[in-house]
Amino acid sequence: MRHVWVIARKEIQTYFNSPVAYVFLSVFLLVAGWLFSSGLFLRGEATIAPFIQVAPLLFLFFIPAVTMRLFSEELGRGTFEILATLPVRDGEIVLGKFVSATVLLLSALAATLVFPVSLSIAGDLDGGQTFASYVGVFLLGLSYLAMGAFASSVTKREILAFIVGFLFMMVFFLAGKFTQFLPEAAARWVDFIGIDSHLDNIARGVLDSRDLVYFLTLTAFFLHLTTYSLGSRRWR
Amino acid sequence: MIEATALTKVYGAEPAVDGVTFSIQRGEIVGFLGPNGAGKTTTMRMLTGYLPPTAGAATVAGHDVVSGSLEVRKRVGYLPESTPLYPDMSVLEYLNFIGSLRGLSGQSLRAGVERAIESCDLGRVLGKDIGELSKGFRQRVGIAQAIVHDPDLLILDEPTSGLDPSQVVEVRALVSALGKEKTVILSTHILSEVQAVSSRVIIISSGRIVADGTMEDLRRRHAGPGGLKVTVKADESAVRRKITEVPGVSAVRTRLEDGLVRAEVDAAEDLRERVFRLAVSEGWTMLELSQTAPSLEEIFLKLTGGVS
Ligand SMILES: Nc1ncnc2c1ncn2[C@@H]1O[C@H](COP(=O)(O)OP(=O)(O)OP(=O)(O)O)[C@@H](O)[C@H]1O
Ligand SMILES: [Mg+2]
Repeated sequence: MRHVWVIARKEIQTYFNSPVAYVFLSVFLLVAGWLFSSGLFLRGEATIAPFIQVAPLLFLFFIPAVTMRLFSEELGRGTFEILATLPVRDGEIVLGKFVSATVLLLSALAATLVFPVSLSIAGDLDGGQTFASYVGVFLLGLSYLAMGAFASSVTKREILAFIVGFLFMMVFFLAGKFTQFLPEAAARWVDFIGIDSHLDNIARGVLDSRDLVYFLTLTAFFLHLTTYSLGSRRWR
Repeated sequence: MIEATALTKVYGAEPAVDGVTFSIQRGEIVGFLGPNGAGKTTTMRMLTGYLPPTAGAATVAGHDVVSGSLEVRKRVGYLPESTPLYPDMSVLEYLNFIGSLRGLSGQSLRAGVERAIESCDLGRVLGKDIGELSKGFRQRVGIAQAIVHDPDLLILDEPTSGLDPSQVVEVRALVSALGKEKTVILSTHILSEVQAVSSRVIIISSGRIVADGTMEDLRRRHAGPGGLKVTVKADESAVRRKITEVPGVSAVRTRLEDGLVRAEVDAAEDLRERVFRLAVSEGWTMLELSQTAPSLEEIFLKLTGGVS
C-alpha cells in the first residue's frame, strides 16, 4: 500500500507541475460556473441540475486528456521498464496512477463547490440533491478515469490513448440514449450498461446502492483490465 | 549468482535469444558483447524479470526469474538501455522516489540515497531537473537509481553509449569501482569497453553465445597465427614478388621506410622459417621477422561474422 501512495504522490506532483492540471481545473470551473449561473438567471431557480446533465459530456473530453499520459508516457519514454523491474506489483502501479488522477478530479469538483455554496446563500438549494449529484458526478468520473487508464496502458502514443479512452467512454455515454430504437429485452440491458439511467436516479437525489455498485464495478473492471494489459508483455 | 539454462526468447517467429546457457559467479564483472540486434538487451530483460523467457530458465541468487520475480527484482539494480528517466523530476526527488519503491524509508532511505549520490558524484546537481542534465550526468543518475538499495547484482545495458570520450572514461571508472563489491553485467558493442572494465566477456551473436571467457582465454582459443611482420634491406618490388610466391601466403603489403622494406604478410600458418630461408637465399639483410597475433577486434569480427 505504501508503494501506491509513493507512486500517487509522484504523479500528483507531475500533474501540478504541468499545464494539464491547471487547464483542466480552470476550464472545468469556467464551464461549471456558466452552467450554474445560466440555471440561476434563465430559469430563476437555484439548482445544480444543469451541471449534472452536462458533466458526462464535459468529462468525455477532459478525462481522456487527464489519463492519456498515465502509462503511454512511461511506455514511450521507456521509464516503465525501470518501474516494472522494481519490487512493485503491476496492480500497485495502476492504483497509484489511478489515485493521482482521482485527486485531480476531486480538486476540480471541490473547486466548483463555490457555486452551490453561493447558490445556497442566494436562494434555497436542495442540499440532499446537491450532495447526491456530486457523488454521482464523482463516481462517473472514477469510471471514466479507469477507462482512460486502460486506454493509456495499451499504447505508447498519448494521442491514441486519448482517442481509445474517448471511444470507450462514448460507448457508455451513448448507450442509454438509443434504447428507444431497440427491442425491449435488449433495451433493458443497454439501459443498464449505459450511464444515463444510473446518473438520472442520482440527479434526482436518490442514492441507490445499485447505482453506486454499477459505477464502482465499472471502475474496478477497467482497473483490472489495465493491470492485465500491463502484464500482457509477459505473455505476448 | 546467475544461472541461465538454454534461455530463449522468441518474438513472433524470430528467436531474439536462442538457447543461451551461462553461469556468473558472485563478484564477477561480465561484459555482454555483440553487434546490434544480437540479443543482449533481450537477455538482460529476462534476467531482470521484465520479460519472461519463451523457453529455458534463469535463476538469480537462487530465485527463478519468473516464479520468484519479486525476489529477483529486490536483489537486482537495473539500468535499461538508453537510460529512461523522468525529465521533470529533480535528481534528489527521483532517487527518493526509486528508493521508496525499493522499500527503503526513513534512515535507510536517506543513507541509501546519500551513498548513491556519493558513488555517482551527483552532489552538484541534486536540485536540478533531470531533463536539464548533460548526458553524462543523466547516465550517472541512471546508475545511481540502480544502486540506491545496495544490490548484489547490477545489470547495466550499454552504460556508456552516446557519451563523449571523457564521459565514457568517467562512467567506466564508476562501473569498475562498483564492480569491486558487486557482481556486474554490462552490455556493449565496443570491445575496448570490455577490456577496460570487465574480467570476462560473453560474446553474443544472433541470439547465441559464440565465446565465453577471459580476454586471455579468447586470445588463446580463437587466435591462431595471424601474420608476419618482416623488415629487410632489399629492393621493394623484389621483396613483394618473392614473398608472394612463398606457399601459404595469402597477401603481402610492403612499404619503404628509411630505405628499409617493411612487409606485412597475411598467412594462415606460421611461415617464419620459410621467409627466413628465402631472405638468406636472396641475400637480403633481415632486420625483423615476427609473428603477429590477430587483435581482439579481429577475433570479435570473426566470431560475430561481421565486417569492419
Ligand atoms: N519488443 C520486440 N519485438 C519484436 N522484436 C524485438 C523486440 N525487441 C527486440 N527484438 C528483436 O530481437 C533481436 C534482439 O534484440 P536486442 O534488443 O536484444 O539486441 P541487442 O543486442 O540489445 O542490440 P543493440 O546493440 O542494438 O541494443 C533483434 O533482432 C530485435 O529486432
Ligand atoms: Mg540492446
